[in-house]
Amino acid sequence: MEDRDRILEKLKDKASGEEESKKMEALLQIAYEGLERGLSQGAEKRIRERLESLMREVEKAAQAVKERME
Amino acid sequence: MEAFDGSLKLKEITIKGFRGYGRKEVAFDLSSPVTLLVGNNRSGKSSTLNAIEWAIYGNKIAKKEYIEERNRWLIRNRNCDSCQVELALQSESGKITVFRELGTERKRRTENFYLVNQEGKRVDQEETLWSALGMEPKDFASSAYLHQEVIRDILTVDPRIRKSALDRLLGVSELRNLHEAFDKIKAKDFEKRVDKIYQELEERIALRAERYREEMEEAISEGKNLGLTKDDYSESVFKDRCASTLERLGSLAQRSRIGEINISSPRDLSGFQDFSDQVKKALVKVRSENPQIKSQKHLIERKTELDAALGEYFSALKEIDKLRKSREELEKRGNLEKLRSRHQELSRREAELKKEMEMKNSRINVINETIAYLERLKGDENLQEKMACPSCEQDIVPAQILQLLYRRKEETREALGNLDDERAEVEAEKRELQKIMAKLEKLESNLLPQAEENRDERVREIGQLLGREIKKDEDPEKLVRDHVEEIDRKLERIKNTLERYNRDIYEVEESLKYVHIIVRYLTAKKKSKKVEGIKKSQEWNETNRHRDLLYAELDHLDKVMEAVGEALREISEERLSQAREGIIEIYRDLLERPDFDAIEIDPRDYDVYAVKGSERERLISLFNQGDMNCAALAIFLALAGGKTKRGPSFLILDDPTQSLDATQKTRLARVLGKAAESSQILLATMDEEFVEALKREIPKIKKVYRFVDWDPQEGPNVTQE
Repeated sequence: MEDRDRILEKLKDKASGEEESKKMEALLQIAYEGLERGLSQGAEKRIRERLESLMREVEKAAQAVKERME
Repeated sequence: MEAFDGSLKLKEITIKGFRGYGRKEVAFDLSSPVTLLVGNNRSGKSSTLNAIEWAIYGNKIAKKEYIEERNRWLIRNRNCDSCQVELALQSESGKITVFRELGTERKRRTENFYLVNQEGKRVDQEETLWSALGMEPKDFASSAYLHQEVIRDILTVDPRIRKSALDRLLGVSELRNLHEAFDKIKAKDFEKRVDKIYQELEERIALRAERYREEMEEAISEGKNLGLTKDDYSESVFKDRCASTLERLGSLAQRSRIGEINISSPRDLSGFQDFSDQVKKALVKVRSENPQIKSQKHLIERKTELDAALGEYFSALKEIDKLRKSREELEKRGNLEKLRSRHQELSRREAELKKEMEMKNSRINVINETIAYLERLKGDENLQEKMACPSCEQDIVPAQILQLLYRRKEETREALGNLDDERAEVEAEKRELQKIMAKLEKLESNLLPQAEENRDERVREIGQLLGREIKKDEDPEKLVRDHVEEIDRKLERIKNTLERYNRDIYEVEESLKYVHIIVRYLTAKKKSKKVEGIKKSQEWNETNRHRDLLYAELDHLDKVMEAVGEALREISEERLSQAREGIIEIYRDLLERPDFDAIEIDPRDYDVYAVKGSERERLISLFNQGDMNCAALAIFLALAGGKTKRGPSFLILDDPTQSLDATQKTRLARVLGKAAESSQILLATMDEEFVEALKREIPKIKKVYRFVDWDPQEGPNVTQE
């Protein structure tokens, strides 16, 4: 069995549903794409970018809350 | 070309200008199951092995993560313009020829790579070859090619390097890197950042709530001073007050004749600021445009001008007075006419004195001459006797005459002195009179007329300000005083009118303040309600939604990392388990240690242990260098060439007998003989004892290349046994 297939199988077991499973697969895919460009740094950078993008959304929404209070 | 062809073997290689190789092209047939490259140090053996690696991977292996020692390698021989390596690989489906060349063109480095696949097609992508070999550069450097760096890495104390080397041998380095990537991202860091955001929001909510409460309290406190009651803090009172403010302003505008005020009442609280600004602007206009104020300003200006003109008039009078007093002082000795007469009198006396003094001087001269004559007679005559006077011929006694002359001379001198004193006094008085007369003349003819003209000018000026001519018999001061009194009466009347007017303006301003306080209170209350309800707002919900999305992703990240970790452990354990027997078998073939008859790799930390029964010890703290090399060779050969093998069907070994004794060399030759049954072996050594052992133990050996000597220009001199 391919390494990736084995991980995907494990993700299916860990996911609470198909939707979550797909999301985790997407995350794994991002990491693999990063790996192809180098070592762990590339993958880490790609995942971090994704998380930072979500973080920015939180910050943006919090800014809107602040503006509403003014 | 297929993606992975595990049957790939070395077939032949031709090298020119690569590292130790010079201008001479050297070809090797590598197709035998075992090929030995034998020669001393610096004879070109390792360059031959490196040429295979370079042909396949170029300079990609020269990275810190792979083989750091390759970094800054001199690839092209200094004595050659270019270097070329042509490598042929053989698979079950055909031959692949790899060609790599490094040259210089106009001082720039040029690299050329291509391969011709089994179908005879040219392919330029290196990755195609790597895919066919089933190995990326990093894997090849430790999984197919045993050199001293691999042995060092397998047994190093540094767990990172050890894990990396063994991961490659186990074919799980990609999974390890993947796991490391997930592990380096700390979910806690993101959670802390989110917590900080929420903490900031909570603090801001608390601060805002406090501020608005304080603003409301301040407004109520200020309102109390203005007489506002609890019921006044409503929108309806706000609107009524704005309307009444406008009404008062309109009345003021009418009275000040500035026309209609075009301001509308604010529709709600947000319009108050604009309303307030417009009312304030209108008040400024009402103040400045009022005719009473203009009149007041005009009268004050007129009063100031009259005061100034009167002041100048007084100054002119003072100047005249001062000049007249000076004249009086000067005329104490008489007026100018009298002084002139006295001056003439003194001049006459001065002339008389001059004449008298001339006469006296003449007389003295005559006396002096006569005395001189008589004194000259002293020697010849008896001065006591009579003699005839040389002038009148009468009898004279010279001594008596001489005595008389002495007296006369003294008397005349005294009289002359008195006359001179008088003359000096006359001169002094004349000089003084001249000075006084000059001053009086200046006063009379110049200063006084000018001062009087100045006074008259000031009077005319006052007349102009009063708007009438001032007659000689009129007192300008009285006229000015009367006029100023009239102005003051008018100003008093204006002041009274303006006081009423200003009271009305003040009331408008106060009314505006009143409304402002209501607005402040109501605005703060409105904002306070907004803050209180912020956690039910759409924005707050949206923040929560994004936070949940982030947390979900962090949860996914955690699960993915867990899955990768589990897969990594499982695969490593499986592969280690598959290789375990092979490792022990080779270890026992190579070493015969009575204390530890096996070695094993701990799948958790990849530490290598020497084992006997249930007893185990870390190999690195126990074994000598030769035994450690045997252990590393066992691990390498079992993983790279055994059942778990991935990648091509050949193994390259560079000088594997370092620190081995004669028995171990023989045992290694035997082990390699077994390995050669499943993998093609290319081995470089300078150890003749080992070569003999290999020849003995491996009957399959077909090719032995001897590196006889080496020339920097030509490269290695190679012969085939």
